[in-house]
Amino acid sequence: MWSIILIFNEIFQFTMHIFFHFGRYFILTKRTFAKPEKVSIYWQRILDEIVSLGIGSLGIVAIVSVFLGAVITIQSAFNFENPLIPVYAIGVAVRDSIILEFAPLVISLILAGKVGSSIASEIGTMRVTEQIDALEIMGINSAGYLIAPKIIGSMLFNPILIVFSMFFGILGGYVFGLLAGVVTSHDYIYGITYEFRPYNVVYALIKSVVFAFIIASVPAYHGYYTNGGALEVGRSSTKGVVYCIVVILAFDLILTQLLLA
Amino acid sequence: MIIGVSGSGKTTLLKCMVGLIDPDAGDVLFNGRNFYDLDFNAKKEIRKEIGMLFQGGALFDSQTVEENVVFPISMFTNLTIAEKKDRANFCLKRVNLENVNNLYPSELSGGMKKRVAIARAIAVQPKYLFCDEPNSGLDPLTSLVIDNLIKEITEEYNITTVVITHDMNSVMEIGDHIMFIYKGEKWWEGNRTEILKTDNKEVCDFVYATKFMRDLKTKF
Repeated sequence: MWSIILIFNEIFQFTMHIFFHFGRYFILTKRTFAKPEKVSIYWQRILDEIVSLGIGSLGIVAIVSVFLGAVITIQSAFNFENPLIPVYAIGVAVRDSIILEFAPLVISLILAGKVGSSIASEIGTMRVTEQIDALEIMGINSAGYLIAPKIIGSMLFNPILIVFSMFFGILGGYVFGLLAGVVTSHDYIYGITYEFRPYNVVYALIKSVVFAFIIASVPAYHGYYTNGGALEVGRSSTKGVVYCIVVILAFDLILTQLLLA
Repeated sequence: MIIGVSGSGKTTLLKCMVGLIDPDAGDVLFNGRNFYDLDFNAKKEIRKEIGMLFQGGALFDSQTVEENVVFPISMFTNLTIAEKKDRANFCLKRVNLENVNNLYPSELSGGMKKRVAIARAIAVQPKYLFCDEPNSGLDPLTSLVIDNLIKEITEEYNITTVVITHDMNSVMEIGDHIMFIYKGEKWWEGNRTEILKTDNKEVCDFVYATKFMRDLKTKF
């Protein structure tokens, strides 16, 4: 009997814990988008964030995308050995895999690790070194000043990163497909243009904007409520990335159902 | 001045006073208005009248010394870039810091960080200045410089300054009105002459904790 009560108590505590974090996250988001003190300073901060979070990620996105495209091409060729399947199907498979899933999802997961940990640790460090308190004392909405430019910068630049990833993924597939000798140039190009649906790109871009919001806001939440010292900053950074990945995966499923079903 | 042993609640009290922590009980009145009854925007307006010197300085790591001092000016005034720089240079000069404008906080010593933090705090001409252990981690000579700076600025700008400290040198140097906190409660209140004469056990234990102060008491 006692064990059942204890289990129910644990479930109750866990549920309350989730509601607590949900509530605090939404209150922080509301504060984040409150009227800014000075629009020109916020605009400058958005540009800075685009440079640091977006342009700074171009290299890793290009490298990951090229190798993703290459692996999908070689794996598709391996699986399409049946003579009934035309060789250009490799191009179709690479294009659709990259555009529909790999570019928006995998790149967002990688950005969650790179950008998310950077955001959580930056804001967390500012919290434990009282820099956030200093902003509040000055009469500045610290959530708006620190988090809003990161979210807006991310939402503006993430679609560009995803298009960039699509290009490099398909290019990687092409180059490595030719080098491995699994597909000809003609078949690959025919495949990537075969029955192309522009809506797939729109779908990927919608996902990329939603994921960008999650990538910036979830780690920022964990960083903002860091309490303690260097150890807690590390913990916040890890928690921020882990929760960010889980939320991205959940929204990937929801958006796929909403936009493709 | 608010004094007391470590863990007595000095910093918590200060954070309640400036609105960084919600108190469990009691009010914080600014010009008769309870800070915690005000809405977010009204609190922001009051905070513009407050300058604060944090224990570690709390300078923005990503900004240079000049940018740190210019920051509050940029946020709340419409001065031109040249005017903002002039104001920042004036404040930096006031705290005896020159030719450090382009350095980052990580390149400064503890005392310099505190002075930059004071310059940033006075940049928007506050009515109240709160200092959280301004001497912690500083050598006695630099502590004296910071103490004198706080005293001079308080008189020069005609502001109310609240200093949290457990440094008796500081208390004797700049303390006009002293409050001793013990276990989260106000335990004793008076001036720097009275604190040397009090027979309150906890205050005496604190004041005469060092051999120097005990010798001083025996001497006089």
